[in-house]
Amino acid sequence: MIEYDDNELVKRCLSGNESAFETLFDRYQKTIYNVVYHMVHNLDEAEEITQRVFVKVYNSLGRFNPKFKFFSWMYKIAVNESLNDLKQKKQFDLITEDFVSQDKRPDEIYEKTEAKEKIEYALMRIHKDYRALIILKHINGCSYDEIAEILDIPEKKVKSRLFTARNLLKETLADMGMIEND
Amino acid sequence: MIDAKAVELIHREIDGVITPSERELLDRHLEQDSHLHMLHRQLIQASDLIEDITPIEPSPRLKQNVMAAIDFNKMGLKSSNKNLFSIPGQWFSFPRKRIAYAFALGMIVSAFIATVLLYNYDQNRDLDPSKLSATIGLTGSKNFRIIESQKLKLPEAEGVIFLKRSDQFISLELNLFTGNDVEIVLNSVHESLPLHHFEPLDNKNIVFERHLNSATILAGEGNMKAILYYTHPTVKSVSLTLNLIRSGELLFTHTFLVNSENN
Repeated sequence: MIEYDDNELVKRCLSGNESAFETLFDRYQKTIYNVVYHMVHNLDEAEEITQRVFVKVYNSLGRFNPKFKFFSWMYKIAVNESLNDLKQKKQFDLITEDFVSQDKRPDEIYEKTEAKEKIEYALMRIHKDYRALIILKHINGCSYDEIAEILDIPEKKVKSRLFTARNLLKETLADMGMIEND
Repeated sequence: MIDAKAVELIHREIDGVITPSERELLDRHLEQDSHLHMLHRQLIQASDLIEDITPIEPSPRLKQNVMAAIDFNKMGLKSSNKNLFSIPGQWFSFPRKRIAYAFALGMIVSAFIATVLLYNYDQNRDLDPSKLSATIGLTGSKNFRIIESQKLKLPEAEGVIFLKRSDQFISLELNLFTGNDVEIVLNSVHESLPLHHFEPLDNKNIVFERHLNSATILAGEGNMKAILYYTHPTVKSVSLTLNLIRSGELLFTHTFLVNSENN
């Protein structure tokens, strides 16, 4: 079976080839879903937003410029959709109900949660704009120039913001006892 | 105060792009600065932790929902609209332009129909005269050519008479000015040269009488223009005699010869 690159698949989608879009979906659904999930930290919301992202991607395929990377373009849509969703719900760096129970102390909760969930919790505590940088760089392995393209900011700014993001995450994890504290 | 350059080297290490010389420089900084050393350990630990996050598998219903939410026909339709045959359909999809397009189309169709009708009309004008069974279509036909012309200059009548032919049709065209009432009698053998029809072009002063082997035109004073059409289907030579009479007196006579040579 021939494996087409993203641009070829986009072309095929534009000519009405449904299976080409299905291939693109299969190729990126997990990545996009994880980007969105780590941004909103809610499985149902992540699924709903991911669905919106792919529908938006499909409907905007005609406007995709092939000189850019397709996945960067798709990430951009995913990050923006997530940020818009967070903005609408006014989830400005607040801990979700899943993590916080009113009758338990945070340290008690952390003991019961697995390490992975603690890290995700730490991630949710930093500002969404910095969170997006950490997700793209450390979870999705994007390069600086790719992040610059996705977030539509200069590469230098990506670098400086990422340094800040790492520091914020480090402090959060240290506060939570996940890493060494000063 | 932590050296900014050293902090950058830590981030370069985390990014995996630190060079050996930068590594050495960083190590020297770390040995000298305990705060930097702590920051380095914390950032590396945080980075390791975050990269340990395993991706979550989306539920199978995500694909079902996405594929169901997308209108693939829409894209297919857009694509198929690009072909030549669907372009008019696209044009007509602009509601504001529909009337203009309909009008333009109507004009094109009308022009086409008019062209076809005019072409057919022109073709009919060149039809074989033998197919004509009525008294139409011969007057002024360009197909009739002059075989003989006869000038007439008398006190009682003045003008010119043309004998013309078009295939098996003979026409005798009278263009005369008559001073007083005159009688023009045309004699021919009906079997050989039957009169097809008479066409007065100025019938104010004309009375026409038709007989078996002759035709009589009674003309009053003034201009007279008339044409007699005869059929000459055979190759035989036949004659047509014109007599101009006034008050029983023969003023002028002439015999036109019609044969196959002047066909």
